Amino acid sequence: MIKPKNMVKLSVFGPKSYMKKVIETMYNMNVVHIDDHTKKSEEDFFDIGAPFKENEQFADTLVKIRSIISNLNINKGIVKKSATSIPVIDKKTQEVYEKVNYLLKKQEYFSQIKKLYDKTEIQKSLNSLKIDIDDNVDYSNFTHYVGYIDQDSDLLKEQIEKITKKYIMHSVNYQGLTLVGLFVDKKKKDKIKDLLKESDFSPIDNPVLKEKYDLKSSAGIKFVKLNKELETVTNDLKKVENRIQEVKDEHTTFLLESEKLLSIESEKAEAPLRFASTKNTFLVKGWVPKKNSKKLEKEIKNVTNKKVHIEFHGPVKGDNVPIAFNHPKIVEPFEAFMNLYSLPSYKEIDPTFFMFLTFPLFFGFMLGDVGYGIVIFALFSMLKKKMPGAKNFLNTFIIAAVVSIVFGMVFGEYFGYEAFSQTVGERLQLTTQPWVLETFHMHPFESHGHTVFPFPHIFARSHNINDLLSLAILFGIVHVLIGYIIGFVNILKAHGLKMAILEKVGWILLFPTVIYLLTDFLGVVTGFVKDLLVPLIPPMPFMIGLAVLGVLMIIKGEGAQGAVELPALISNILSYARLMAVGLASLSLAVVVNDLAGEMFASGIVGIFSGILILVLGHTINIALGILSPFLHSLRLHYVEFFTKFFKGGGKKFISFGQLK
Amino acid sequence: MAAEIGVGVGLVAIGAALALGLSAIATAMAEKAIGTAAVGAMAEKEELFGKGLILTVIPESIVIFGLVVAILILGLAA
Repeated sequence: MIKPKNMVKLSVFGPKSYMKKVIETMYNMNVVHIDDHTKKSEEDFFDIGAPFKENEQFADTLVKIRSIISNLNINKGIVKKSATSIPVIDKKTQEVYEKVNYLLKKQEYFSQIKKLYDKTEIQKSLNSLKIDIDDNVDYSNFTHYVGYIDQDSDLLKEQIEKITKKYIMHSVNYQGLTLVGLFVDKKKKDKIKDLLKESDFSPIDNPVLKEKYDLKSSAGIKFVKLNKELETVTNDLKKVENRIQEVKDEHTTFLLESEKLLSIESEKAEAPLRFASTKNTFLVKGWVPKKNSKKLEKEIKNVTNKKVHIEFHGPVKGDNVPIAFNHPKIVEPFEAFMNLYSLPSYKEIDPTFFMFLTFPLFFGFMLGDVGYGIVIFALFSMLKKKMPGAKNFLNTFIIAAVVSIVFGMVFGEYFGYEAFSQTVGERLQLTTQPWVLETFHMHPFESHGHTVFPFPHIFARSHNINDLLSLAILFGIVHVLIGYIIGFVNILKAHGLKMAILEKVGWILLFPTVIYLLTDFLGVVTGFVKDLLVPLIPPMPFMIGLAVLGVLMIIKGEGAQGAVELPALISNILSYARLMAVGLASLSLAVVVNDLAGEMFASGIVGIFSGILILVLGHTINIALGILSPFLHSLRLHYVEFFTKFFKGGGKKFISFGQLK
Repeated sequence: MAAEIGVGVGLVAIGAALALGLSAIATAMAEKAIGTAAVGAMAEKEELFGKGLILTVIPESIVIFGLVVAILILGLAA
């Protein structure tokens, strides 16, 4: 639990004819972290392997599928891999790919035109088209078409020539669109009209044309007013968009499932790139969790008739062993915090379990409100359904929310309210068993001229600020001390007993002095916590002796840097005062909101509404702060105050070959 | 109610407020500079989040000390 999984180094060596089977077995077992082979120098005997030939086809189809997925904005969910055979996928992908590309092109064309539908833009585009009016031509025999087409102008020319030789065509490329001015024989009007329709001809309307040219004959396609034309284009665009949506709905499952299958196949086919190979042999190097190694060996030997050589070695010094966490299910969410910071190195103690213990504790201690805890619990349970990808991260909040509820009960806080109303309180005093009143401190007290009937609680933090501060500091002392103890174990394993004692025991020897400074000298820690801690302080001369010895050991162990860091011990521990500060700030804000709303409620019908508004708004803000602030501060106490006592980090993640499955 | 609070208690309260407020400003000034640099570094290399956070929050001990002093001063008034 506090150690990553035990790893052994794996080497598989064999003839290339068995490579595929070995890859298949490793992929299915999903337990090998492959160390990629790199050719360091020309003398290196091994080359990097070549991917299997079929990979080209996989990659080709995969690129197409991915481009469709991204073009259609398909959300990647969790899907199973496709059961369709790969040639069928290839064929279908090609079809969908062409269809989608065609539609997307159309969509772009129409939206471009739509953008241009503004009078000055049209005039500008028309100006770019040079139409030479030839005086020798009798234009009354011609029909004219001026507008955009979704086609290459040369291609259109060819098609027109098949219909008639009697035509004049001008064309220009305007902002990525083809703008044509076409004069054709009036007799061939119908055929030309059909042809233009095929290339989605979008005409420029007559009034604009008339301003520029004196074109007498009427156009074959009826020109309409500017707005009308825009409407048509909008409709066309809409149609194309609907069509795209249909295609998307129809093929989403196919695309996602095929993407998965092909990604898996392609990863397998590319695996030789990570191997060392010669002309006829291959060598895989990597890491396997020790408990899986026997089974892996057996499986590979089975499929290859023992024609492949397998070797396992324990890790030696200097190996960069990949880290696979080894936690029970409930601790797993907290791995997210390690990924955020740095993974522990292989020999180090993995602090995730300690974070699991103390992170929710600190969070709950700061938030400490039953109402807020329930809201956060419900909120993050809901989010978990919406975003399964962030499950781990959200689970940390859910665990922390549960602890907040517990602390809320201890503190007797419910949405910032701490006391019953007068009538309920009085009745409860009469009906409740005396021992309950006693245990849960429900006795009424006078405050600002009112009698207050507090909710059942064990420790009211708002009335015992000094005790709360002392408690927070106590958390700090214990937490930092645990940090040094873990540090001791880490150094013991890495550098031996002598270094461990010099570097970490030195700090631990300072603790009696620190406790003395915090209690008697500074007076920060008071009340029952002080009574708890004072017996731990040895007689003065002995305490000073320990401190001096400790300082000497630190200087010997860590050098001048250690000496400079001495005062940091106190400031680290005092830093835990934030446990009190953040909590009280959140409580105070809640109380202010409640009081404001309470005054509003007393002032009539309008007041009730504004009171509700204030309650909702105020508590929403406070909950948002109540998620963010305790989270950050709790995290910080771990990263800064706790981890710096022992954590080196720098491990690399265990990525098993076959994870896509 | 205001009449019940003497000048001495008032001065203690002001002292506590100054201790907390000034140290908070100091922390803010220090964290501003470090935070900017840390975010810049993170934009280049995301793995620096942990280190960036640690460096950014180092000045926070100033305000924590301020808070502790404020509480100690308030203790005088009681």
